[in-house]
Amino acid sequence: MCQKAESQAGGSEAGDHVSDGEEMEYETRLRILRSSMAFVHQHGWTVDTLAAGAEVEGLPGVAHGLFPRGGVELIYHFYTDCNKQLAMQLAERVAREKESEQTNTPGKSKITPFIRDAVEARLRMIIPYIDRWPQAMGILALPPNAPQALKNLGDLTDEIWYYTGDTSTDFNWYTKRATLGVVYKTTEVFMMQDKSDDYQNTWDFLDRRMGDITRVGKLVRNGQEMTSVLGEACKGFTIIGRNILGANSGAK
Amino acid sequence: MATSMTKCQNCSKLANRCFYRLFSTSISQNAYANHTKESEKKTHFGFETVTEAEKEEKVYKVFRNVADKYDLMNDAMSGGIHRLWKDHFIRRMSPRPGTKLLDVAGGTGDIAFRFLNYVRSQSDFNSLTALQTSTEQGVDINEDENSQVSGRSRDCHVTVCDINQSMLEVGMNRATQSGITSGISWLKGNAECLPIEDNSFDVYTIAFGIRNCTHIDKVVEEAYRVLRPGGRFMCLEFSHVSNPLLRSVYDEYSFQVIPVLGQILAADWDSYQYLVESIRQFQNQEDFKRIIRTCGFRAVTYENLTFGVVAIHSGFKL
Repeated sequence: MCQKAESQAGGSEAGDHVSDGEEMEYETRLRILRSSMAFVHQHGWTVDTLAAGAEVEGLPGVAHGLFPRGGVELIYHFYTDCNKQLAMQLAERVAREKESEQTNTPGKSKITPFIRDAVEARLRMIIPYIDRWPQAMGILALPPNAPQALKNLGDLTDEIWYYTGDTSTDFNWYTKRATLGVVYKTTEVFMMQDKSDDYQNTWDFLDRRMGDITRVGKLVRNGQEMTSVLGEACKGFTIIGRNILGANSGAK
Repeated sequence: MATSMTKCQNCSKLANRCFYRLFSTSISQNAYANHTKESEKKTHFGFETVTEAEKEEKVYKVFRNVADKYDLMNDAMSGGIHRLWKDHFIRRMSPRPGTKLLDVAGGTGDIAFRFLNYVRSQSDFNSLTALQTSTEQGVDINEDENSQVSGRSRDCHVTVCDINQSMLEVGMNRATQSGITSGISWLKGNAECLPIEDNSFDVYTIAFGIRNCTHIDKVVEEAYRVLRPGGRFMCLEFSHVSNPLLRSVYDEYSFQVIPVLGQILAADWDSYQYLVESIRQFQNQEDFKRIIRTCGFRAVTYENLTFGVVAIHSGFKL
């Protein structure tokens, strides 16, 4: 490593050296983040954890300065890592269902269990760190971190909906992901205070929320139909009124 | 100072770049500089042009003269803000127990003392919370563990290195007065050629010192050499204010007020004239960042304080 650095210090500024350096930086950060996870129970999601992780990698503790925003970068790393694992699991499940000669897209009635299982699988990934996850949720809620946290949640719900075979291109795209985001978040909060065996209460809570969505979905659709009928009726009355008052000269 | 041909060329490149900022130097002098012998190579001393050999001696004299009143003048010139800058600098470093710091050009010890206080208060806090937790949990306090924790806090160490003996002496007196007896050592040495082995420190800092060095790239290369892999280079230095209105206010203040203060408080107009001129001669944030990158550091960033009056540059040896 020292010799490579010396050749860089020799003054050559070829593009290769620059990208090598960036790769080195990226890899070093990744190594530190991975090693830091073991210390989360002890120090939480803080700079101390990152320093401890750096020391395990043989770097001085001050290497935590590679993460200027501190502990929150460790949380992002964990979050995105879990999202990637979930995506792999869902892809495998979809491939398995394809192989067993079922349709590509789960039928309408299969979407709800699929989503429910995906949310459960994702929440289970938090369980190893659940003693410190409330702290993480608090940190993610802080104003400087909230935009990135929201984006991560958005990516998560997008992954799940993608693997259900969602192809909507209208406003539904947003409503689907927003509602799933709300379900995920509320279940996560519930899980933090759940003391039941294997978090059974949490999964029951999740079932009830999925049921809510289905009911609300039907209500909205009925409501929309009702609104369109009412709208037509109103239009009709307006035309009658104008006819009576003689204002609708065009219709004569 | 034995140098190879490539280092020679680097130095002349640096000197040439500095020339373009000198108000009183014409272009013809650049040509002259390229043809002179190495020992007669020209550089800037404030807005003056001097040979490189002369510069080191002149800077030495400046700091020998200002050593006694250095801290007083810092407070007077910056209105005490320099303390905030240095506090922020240490917070940005966030050193953990067991860190080894090399503070170069750190004569009077401002950074060193702050570093020690920071790490020790951290360790005290940690041992206190560990004590509370174990008391709450009803666990027997393990005496070995406690002494290990406080032992680790004593493991942190700072070596203050300065070329100027007078500045070091002021620092040593301050240490004795504050009751700091362990964890600090004082070393006389030249930042361009440190009397230190390779890969021996975790952090290298240089606060308000690098602009006084003759060859900045050599200083950064030495920093790279003495740092461990993963070690951090941090530089706190006056830099360039980009906002034109603020810059004109800052320039007026620098040239009209500071040398006068120097004369009144320290009976030394010239030294303080040099100090404010040397700030103008130093690289701006981006150029300095480039120098640090060229010397091999990665993840190089800078942070402006007080609208760019001061900047913290940071890089890692990866």
